[in-house]
Amino acid sequence: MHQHIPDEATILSYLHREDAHARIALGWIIDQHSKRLYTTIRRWVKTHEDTNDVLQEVFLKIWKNKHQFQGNSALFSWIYRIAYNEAMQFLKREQRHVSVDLDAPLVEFHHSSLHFGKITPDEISAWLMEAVETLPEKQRFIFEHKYFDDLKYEEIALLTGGSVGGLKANYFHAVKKIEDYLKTKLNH
Amino acid sequence: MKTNEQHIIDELKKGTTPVPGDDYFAQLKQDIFDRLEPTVKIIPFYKKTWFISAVAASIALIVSVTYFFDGNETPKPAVATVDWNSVSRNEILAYIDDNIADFEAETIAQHLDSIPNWTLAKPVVGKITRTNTARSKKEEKYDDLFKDIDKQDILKYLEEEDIELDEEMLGT
Repeated sequence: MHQHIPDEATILSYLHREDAHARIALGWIIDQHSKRLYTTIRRWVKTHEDTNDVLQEVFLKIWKNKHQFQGNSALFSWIYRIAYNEAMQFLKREQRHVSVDLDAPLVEFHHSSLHFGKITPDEISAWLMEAVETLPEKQRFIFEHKYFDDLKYEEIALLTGGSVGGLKANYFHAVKKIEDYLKTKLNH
Repeated sequence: MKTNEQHIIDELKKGTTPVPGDDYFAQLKQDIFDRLEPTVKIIPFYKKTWFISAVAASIALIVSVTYFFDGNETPKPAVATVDWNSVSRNEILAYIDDNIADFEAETIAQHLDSIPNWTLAKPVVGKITRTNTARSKKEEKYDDLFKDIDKQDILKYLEEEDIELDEEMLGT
């Protein structure tokens, strides 16, 4: 885990080879992104066991489709898309939804007002995840890493390859949509 | 209801997503590699069959060469060699004289033909080291060996011994 991981271009050049170098590249990708992917996937599928299953499938899919990725976008954006699709397929197979069967609530209200006091942590967590699920991929990616993982825009920019200004705009769009979704739920 | 200035998500307290320790991620990596489809395995050089065969053959060759070579880098043929240093001209002639009945005419002719420039002369100064057609410097020293014996003398000798050789066999 503490070995030096080269830049993305080097990782890709190794990954696209047909010899042992490709496995080295996969090892770098696992070392670099497995923790971040774990937390992201666990928010979606909730349990450690399911997260482990999905995470393994994600890396196997990266390996299987390694030649499809040609570096036109940031590597982690491509991986995130695979992870999201894999998690959603998993939930569909399990006939579950991203917003139910929570082991522990993702969020709860700071202060129980008369209005919000009626909303349980599980309910608001489920609605929040439903709202996140409605977002376009890029906004979902940015919102998850900004809101849940507390990454700075500069750090997200390294993962997505986008500009900080563009990330801010996307984040506020995402927040606006989530607010609208939650308001709708709270008013019912 | 919330005002436009304050977002609902700002009122939310986030929980923490549990993250396993490094051991889990090390095992995860191993599990993933275990599940990869087998690729062309890199077989260590020393495990390749042809390499083992080559090494065995090389060892056999080295043993053979070591056995047949002396320490002076002088190769010895596998068959018995003639140490011309130890055989004088008179001894050679005496041997031929005693055993001429055992020599076939064709064999003698072939030998005469194969050493056209060799003549029996003074005692041998070196060893016959090789039997191939390329002549080493040592072999060239043997040129003097038969220089004092003319082919005609040999023919005369064979004639006296009632051995028939035609001109073609003798290469004359």
